[in-house]
Formats: sequence, C-alpha cells, structure tokens
Amino acid sequence: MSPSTTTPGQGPGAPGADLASGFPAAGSDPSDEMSVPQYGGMAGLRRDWRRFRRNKLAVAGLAYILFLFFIAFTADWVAPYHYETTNPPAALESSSVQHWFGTDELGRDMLSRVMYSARNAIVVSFGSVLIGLAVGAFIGAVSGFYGGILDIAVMRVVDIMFAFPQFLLLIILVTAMGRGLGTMFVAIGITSWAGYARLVRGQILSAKNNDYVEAARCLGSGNGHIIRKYILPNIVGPIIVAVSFGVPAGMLAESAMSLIGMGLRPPMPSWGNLISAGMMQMYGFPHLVLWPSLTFGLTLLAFTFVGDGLREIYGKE
Amino acid sequence: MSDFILEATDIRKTFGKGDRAVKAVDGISVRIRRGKTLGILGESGSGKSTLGRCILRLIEPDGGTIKFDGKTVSGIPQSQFRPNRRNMQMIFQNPFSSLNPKMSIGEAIEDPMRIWKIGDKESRRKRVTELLDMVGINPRRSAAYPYEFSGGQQQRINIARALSLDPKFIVCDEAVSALDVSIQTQIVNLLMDLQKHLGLTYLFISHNLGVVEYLADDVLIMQHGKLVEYAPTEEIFKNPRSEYTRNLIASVPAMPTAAHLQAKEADRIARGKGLASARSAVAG
Ligand SMILES: Nc1ncnc2c1ncn2[C@@H]1O[C@H](COP(=O)(O)OP(=O)(O)OP(=O)(O)O)[C@@H](O)[C@H]1O
Ligand SMILES: [Mg+2]
Repeated sequence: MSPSTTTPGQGPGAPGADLASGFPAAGSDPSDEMSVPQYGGMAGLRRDWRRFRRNKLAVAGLAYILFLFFIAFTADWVAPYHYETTNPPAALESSSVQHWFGTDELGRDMLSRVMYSARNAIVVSFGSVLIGLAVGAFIGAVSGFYGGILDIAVMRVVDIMFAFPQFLLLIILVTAMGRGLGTMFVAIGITSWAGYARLVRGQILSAKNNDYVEAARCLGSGNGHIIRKYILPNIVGPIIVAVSFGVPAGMLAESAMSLIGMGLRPPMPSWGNLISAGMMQMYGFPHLVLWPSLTFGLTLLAFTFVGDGLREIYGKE
Repeated sequence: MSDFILEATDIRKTFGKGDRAVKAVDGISVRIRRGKTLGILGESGSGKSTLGRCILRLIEPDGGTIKFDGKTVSGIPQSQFRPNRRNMQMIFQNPFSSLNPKMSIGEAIEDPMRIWKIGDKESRRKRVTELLDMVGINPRRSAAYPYEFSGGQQQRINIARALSLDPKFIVCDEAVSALDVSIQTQIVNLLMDLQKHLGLTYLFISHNLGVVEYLADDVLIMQHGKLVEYAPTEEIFKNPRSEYTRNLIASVPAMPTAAHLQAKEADRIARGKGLASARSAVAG
C-alpha cells in the first residue's frame, strides 16, 4: 500500500491530514455534553429486555411463570382449601363452583393440591438448580482458570458423571437419604452439577482467550476486575439460558421420582404424585389426571418459551 | 533523562519445551527515541507480536532487560511493574475482538480511568467525549455497543481507549491489517496526527511494507525470531543489505489483509481446539 497515492494530498505533514482523521482543530470545544446519551448502569439490561419483549411467546411464558410463582407462594392464603383437608362425602366430584378442579377420592380439593404442587415443584427445581449451579460453576470456573492437571482430573470426574444415568443416581441418593422435599432438591442438585461445570469451564476458556481480556490487562486491570467486568458479563448469558432449561428439568425429575413413589412423601402433593394417583382411576374420573397434567405441561412449555427467548438474546451468535 | 523512551536489550522468549520448543524471539534489541516510530517487519510467525508483548510484559520474556523512560522495568514482579501500564499501551489487530461486547464504547473508554481512579464521574465522562472527538467518533454514540460500528470505527474506539490514560508509548500490533485499504490510510493518518499532537512513541508491527515505509523512522526486520536488519527506514528501503530484506521488498505488493487474517484466525482456532481436544482426549 502506498498511502500518498491512494489519498492525494495526505502525505506526511500534508495539511489536510488533520481533517481526514477528525482530529480537532486547535481551539475547538469538544465538550458539547448536553446531548450525549448516558451509558453504563442499567442500559444493557434495558436493551436485553427490549429484545426479549419482541418474542411474544417468551413474554407469555414469563407471565405464566410469574403467575405460577404468585400462586405458589401465596397458596396458604389464596388456595381455597388446605392440601390435606379431606371431605369424604364430596369425594371424586368433577368441576364445580366449590371445587374448580374437582376433588379426589378423599374429597380433597384438586385446585388446592395443584397449587401446592406448584410450590413444591418450584422449591425443588430452583433449589436443585441453585445447588447444581453453585457447585458446578465453582468447580468449572476453577478448572477453567487454572487448567493443568487439576482441570484434567475435574473433567474426568465430569465425564463419569455424564456417563452415569441420572435417574439411577437419583434413586440411589434418595434411598440413602430418605424421601422428602430437602432430599429431593439436594439429590437433583448433586446429579446436575456436572453440566454446569462443563458449561462454565468452556465459557471461561473461550472468554479468557479474547483480545479484550489482554487489552484490559494491558490497561492495568487486576484479576478481580477482569473477572467481574470482562469475563462474567460475557458468560452470564449462556448460564442464564442453561438455568432456564435446568429448572423444568428439575421439575421433571422430581415428578418422575414422585411418579414411581420415590419423590415427595404423600400427602405432600406434587404433580407427579397427583398424576400417578389419578392414573389408577383415569377412565372413571379423568379430571384427576387432566388438571395436574395440564398445569405441569403448561409450566414446562412456559419455561421452554422463556428459555428460547433468552437463548435468542444471550446465545452465541 | 535519556533520549530513548524505550531500550530493550537481548529479549528472548521460547514457547514449549524439548524438541517442540519454538524460539519466538531470539535475542532482539531495540531502542526508540521519544516521539519516533520503530517499524517491525517480518513474515507471519517471525515473532513480532511476541516481541511487542514481551516489551509490555503481557507475556514474561525468558531473558533480556527492558528500560522504559530511564527505569528498568524487567526483572521486577508484575505488581511493581503495574504502574508503568499507564504509560504504555497496545492496539490490537482485530478491532472487534479487542472490545468487550458487553460494554458500551463509553464505558470501555472510561473503564481504564476508573481502574486508576482518575477524576470523578463527571470529569471522566467529559474526557470520554474529548477522546471520541479526537479519534473522529461522534460522542453522541457513546452509549452504543461495539458491534454497532464498522471495523475502522472500532479501531478508532480502541485508539481512544488506549489514549485514555495519556500513555507515552503505544505498541500497534498490525493495527491496520484487518481494515480495508482506504480505511487503513485513515487510521494510519490518525495515528500520525496523534503522534504529532501528543508526542507519542510507537512500536509499529506490520507485514505491510508500504505502511511501515510511510510512518516508521527506523525499521527492524525479523525472521524466525532473529534480527535480520535494523536501520533507518530510508536506508532499509534504498539499499537493503540482506537477501531476506531484498526479497521482502521485491515481494510487494504486500497486501496481506484478508487472506492473512483468515489464516491467522484458523491458526488461533486450531491452537485453541488442539488444546481442548488434547484435554478431552486425556480426560476421556
Ligand atoms: N502463546 C503461545 N504459545 C505457543 N506458541 C506461541 C504462542 N504465541 C506465539 N507462539 C509461536 O511463536 C511464534 C511467533 O509468533 P508471533 O505471534 O510472535 O508471530 P508474528 O510475527 O506476530 O506473526 P503474525 O504476523 O502472524 O502475527 C510462532 O511460531 C507462534 O506459533
Ligand atoms: Mg502477530
């Protein structure tokens, strides 16, 4: 390349050079600040929300999930009955004004039981994701940052975890720890950390390799600053996406365990418990299976929509 | 005070061990006068970037001494070296990947000042406006993100960020190689204007002879990590002493941009993947 021929009049020292590069002429005042937009703070989040909002299904899914949360945590007040309140004379009724979702063989209100199931599902799934993510992210991050023999060892353990059937491990853990709500989310958390570890490790390895990390170091950033401002913001997206799929997976695992009688202990309701109990009388009283299945199905669908919406924003391009 | 802002003597860096060892930089010495530009030329893999990174201590050289502004800055721990980072900066080849995609350009340029606790919020923002103006980017766009800009604009933003700490010395590692020819000219001119106005000193790495001839005062030519020739620009181009240099000059037009970049990217990915697959092979 020969700059003096491609841009006439801009050879070394040519007077036109200043203009071409936008260098301010002496005396110009660049502090025309009035109209400079603010940056930083919540600007990034607001931008993400604007993009999320464009996906109507994801917004509907989010609205449904928020509604479910509301119901789940106000169940003590908004549920028409307690989940254990029996009323034998009103057993096995179908939908009515008193019992929107009908009643079961002990006359317990199905709507209330579905509401409390939502609470249990949320506690178990979010609890398990929290445990899985905390353990997995920590192990994955350390493994990714420090590499070497530690990384090789950790990744071998992760591979073993992946090779082992999750369901079998769950059954073993529940057998060892006994049935119950706490056991449920600890067990599901333990069986899911490996996925988060692998994800976080991979994300950190690739984020670490970017020129902007070296640029930040060159500008004088310490490790802490680089992790907080340069690495975390770039890997948090895929982690959020993984969580949004991990939550329904946790619900599914809990229901599956309940379905085979290893999940929550009755009379504690869970969608899995309700469905498995209802299946025995499915032909005579379909509402026993219908309502819990419908709610459960809608919930899984809502999480999938939200997950897809998040993936559109945060997924790798 | 010494005439030379940078004196690096007998810099050495070897990657790998045993028979896979690569002597990336093998005993290179450079001296750059204040406000001048030293061009580094050499084919791909000759160790130019490694030399630049060693001088900035982004990688630790195996041997040699570095004096910056009269002070010895090699052989001291990173924590003691760190204050020098304000005075020496780097501009990278790939303008997009050297900007954090999650930071608006205003934040990106302000961040170094925050790290060093320079000024208050208001004065820093004023400085961001000033810097953007200086490199020819409309400060009204300071809330925009890197992907919203063209490659040339992104490189201007990188330059503004590098200037935010008022450095004395900048390593430009193929800072224009990734850009279109006409944009290259603009950025080169911008760098020269900034040098004139701010008294900057450059170490300008390139394999583009035209650019180096245009802006360098001295040129150092490298091959396989070794010095081939080191002389004032005019001398190198008028009567090159070594065969290698003559061939290099004869092989102009050296417009390596797109093809070279792709090859490099492929190499980088291969290196990353190689590592990953090697790891998973061991792990599996
Ligand atoms: N981090 C690293 N690990 C191992 N080898 C490396 C590393 N960085 C560079 N090398 C090797 O060192 C040698 C010099 O590389 P360097 O990047 O300095 O060359 P360069 O002159 O900048 O090339 P280019 O023009 O392609 O940018 C090459 O053989 C390269 O493969
Ligand atoms: Mg290089």
